[in-house]
Amino acid sequence: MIRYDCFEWLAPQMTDQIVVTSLSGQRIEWGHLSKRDADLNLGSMGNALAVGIGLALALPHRKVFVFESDGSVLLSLFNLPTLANLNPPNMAVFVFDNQAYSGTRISYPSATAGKTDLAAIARGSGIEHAVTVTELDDFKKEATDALNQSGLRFVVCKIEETVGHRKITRSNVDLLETKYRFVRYLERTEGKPIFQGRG
Amino acid sequence: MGSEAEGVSIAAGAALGGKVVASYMEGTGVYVSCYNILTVGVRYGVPMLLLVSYVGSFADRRNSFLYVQRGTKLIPQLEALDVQYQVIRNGEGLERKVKDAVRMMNSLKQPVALLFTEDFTL
Repeated sequence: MIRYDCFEWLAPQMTDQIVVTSLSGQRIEWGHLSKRDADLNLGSMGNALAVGIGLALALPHRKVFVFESDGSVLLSLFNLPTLANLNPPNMAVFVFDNQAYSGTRISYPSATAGKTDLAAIARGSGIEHAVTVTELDDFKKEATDALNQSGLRFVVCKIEETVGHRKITRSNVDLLETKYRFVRYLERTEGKPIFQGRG
Repeated sequence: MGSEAEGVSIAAGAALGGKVVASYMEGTGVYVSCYNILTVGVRYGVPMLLLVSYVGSFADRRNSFLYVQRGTKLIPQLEALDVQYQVIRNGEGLERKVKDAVRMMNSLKQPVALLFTEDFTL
């Protein structure tokens, strides 16, 4: 399965869902395919899942999609028991697992290239719906269910290690601009101020 | 929480979702979460209050060799992260001091820390 194919199918399905992305090539690919103000491209490993939890708790009436990578989840494995116990029903986590560390233009196997099974870890942590998909059609089914149904989902998507994102022209929208665009979008759609304080 | 690190990142997400957030941790939690404070809190500019028990500080009434190394390096750590902080020694005017910190974090749009020592260590 190719991550870009997953995103190319999913991006047009999105309406008002919040999306939080981790670092890897997914940030570049999703940013290329989706230009929504509801996208929060974090640009750091090990944070997307936890930031997504915070958003899901703060905005329980909105669906929060988190796009993670195997390296990023492995960096913050302690997120999984917390996610299981908080169990936000409005959250769907898709882990694009290419079984490698390749972000710095190296290619080094991650633990999931060996014996480690992230879906099994998630289930062991207490997340009831934690599955692995290997085919695009299975991804589409899980994503469609995530769009249309309530309940925490943790979906490990086994993908090929690709370098197509390196050919995509990177956005020059920096992190602060991304934050303000996202926050102003929430202020508009939630009808309340996000940042407090005097002007 | 499994770690102060995720506590900071979860708080950041909640802050971006419109909540006024605070993350409570022992002094060691600042070391554990400095990556998250920097990469999400500072770099993204997310207002959050860090409520830190200043264990191992001069005024820690139960200081010991177990804590002191963490205490003496805590302020340099916060300053390296460019996190503004205040040391709180007792409960006098505590509500005002917390409000001051909240006003500072909202004005800066950055994490701000309150370090609790002395009377709070008894």
